[in-house]
Amino acid sequence: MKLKIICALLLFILQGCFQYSPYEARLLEHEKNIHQKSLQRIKALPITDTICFAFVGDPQRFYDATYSAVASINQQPDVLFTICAGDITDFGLVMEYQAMLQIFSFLTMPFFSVVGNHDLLYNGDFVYQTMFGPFNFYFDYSGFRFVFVNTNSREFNFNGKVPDISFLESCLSDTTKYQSAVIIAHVPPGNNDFDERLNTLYIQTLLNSPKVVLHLNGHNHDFSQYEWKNSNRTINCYNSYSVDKRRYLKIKIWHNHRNPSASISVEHISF
Amino acid sequence: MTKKQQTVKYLSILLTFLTATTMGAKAKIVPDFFHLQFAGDIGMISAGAGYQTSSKKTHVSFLMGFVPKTYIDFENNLVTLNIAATYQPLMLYFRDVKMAFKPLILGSGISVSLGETYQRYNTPNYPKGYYWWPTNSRIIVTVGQSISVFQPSRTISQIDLYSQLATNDLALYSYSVNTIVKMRHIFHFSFGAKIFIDFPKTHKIT
Repeated sequence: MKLKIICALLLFILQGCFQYSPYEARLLEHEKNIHQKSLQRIKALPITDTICFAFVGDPQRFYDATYSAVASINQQPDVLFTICAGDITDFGLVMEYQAMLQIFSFLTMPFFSVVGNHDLLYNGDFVYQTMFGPFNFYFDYSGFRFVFVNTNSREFNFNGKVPDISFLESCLSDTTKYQSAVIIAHVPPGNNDFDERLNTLYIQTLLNSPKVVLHLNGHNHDFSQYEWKNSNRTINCYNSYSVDKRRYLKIKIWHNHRNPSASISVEHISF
Repeated sequence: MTKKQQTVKYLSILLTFLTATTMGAKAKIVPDFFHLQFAGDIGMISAGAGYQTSSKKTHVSFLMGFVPKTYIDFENNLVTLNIAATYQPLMLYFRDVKMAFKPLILGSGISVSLGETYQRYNTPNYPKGYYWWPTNSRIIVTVGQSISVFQPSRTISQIDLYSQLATNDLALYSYSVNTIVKMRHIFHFSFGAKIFIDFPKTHKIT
């Protein structure tokens, strides 16, 4: 009997040392619901006029560089939270999700990551949702609405539902609840991996929402800056550096009632 | 996939496996050993059969692995088909007991995970070479050791009990391009048994 208990205990302890498959998804409690946990920390922050956050992209397999990026972000005195533009894994494997989470856990601040195409490989969609939360979500802080949207159309066979335009419309529609909105996605419209039938509709939806001031994306592994315009307004767009470029963006946004599109400043930080 | 479709899928895989084994037995390509493994990147439990070269230094196994859906995505169980080869250059015999120790076993194998989740990257949805690594199969690399017990019973001529550390090609790649990824992060423990059966020779009834 004693032997049976010892064997069972040993097997239980050694569980962590076994890997049944590269695709297995056995996450521990502290590796689940990351966005919910980050949101609790955001709610505890004081209301502010100016929000400053770090914007990194496509950590994928660049563990060394990500570790250095985290150390650099921690040294920025005014950064309140970090947003990742997606592709935190290379192959969508749970081992990678866990490793990246461990590195990002060294951040002294809350952390959010939109879902990237590499994160959806194999059973990565399940792992992402278990670890972080829903693909499409938003949170409010100090009058700003941060909207995270899944734009990895190819991984969903261009089924017309990714990106979810109705989600965008519904979370941007209650304009009394927020003053400005920031959209974060992985694949930008116009890219081959973005559903081309939804290109115009996506941009139009955002331009028609008068409070959207900023659109952030990753996927292209290098910085770029562009604008979407219609007759009355402009949305500023930024593509993140990938972490292996040893640079990230420090973005400050503040409410500017006279000129909404001027209320952004972007600093490039090397590490 | 509906439960019915899943049942049909598993039954047909099992039927194929049994047919192949029976045909192999009839054609006298009888496997040298039956193979069972726990973990090791090819399944929670894997089972199959294998062959041994005349020098006894090389084994090749054909295995089917299984991971229940609780550990995958709560929707589909994972079934893998695997070919595993091991090379064991040294066999150290114990003096008085009918046992031997193989201190170094180097292994490698190919593991194919069945199902749309793992095989969809060859469809027209993805241009050729979209993802740069071989998406449909994994290369498994193992290093281990084993203890062989000889003639534990009349029909079993040998049992090899082995433990090994296993990893896969993608983990090895991540290891190779980063300094903070260490061997201990990518190798995982696994163990198994190879059971060598002495099939009784057919007797002519005179």
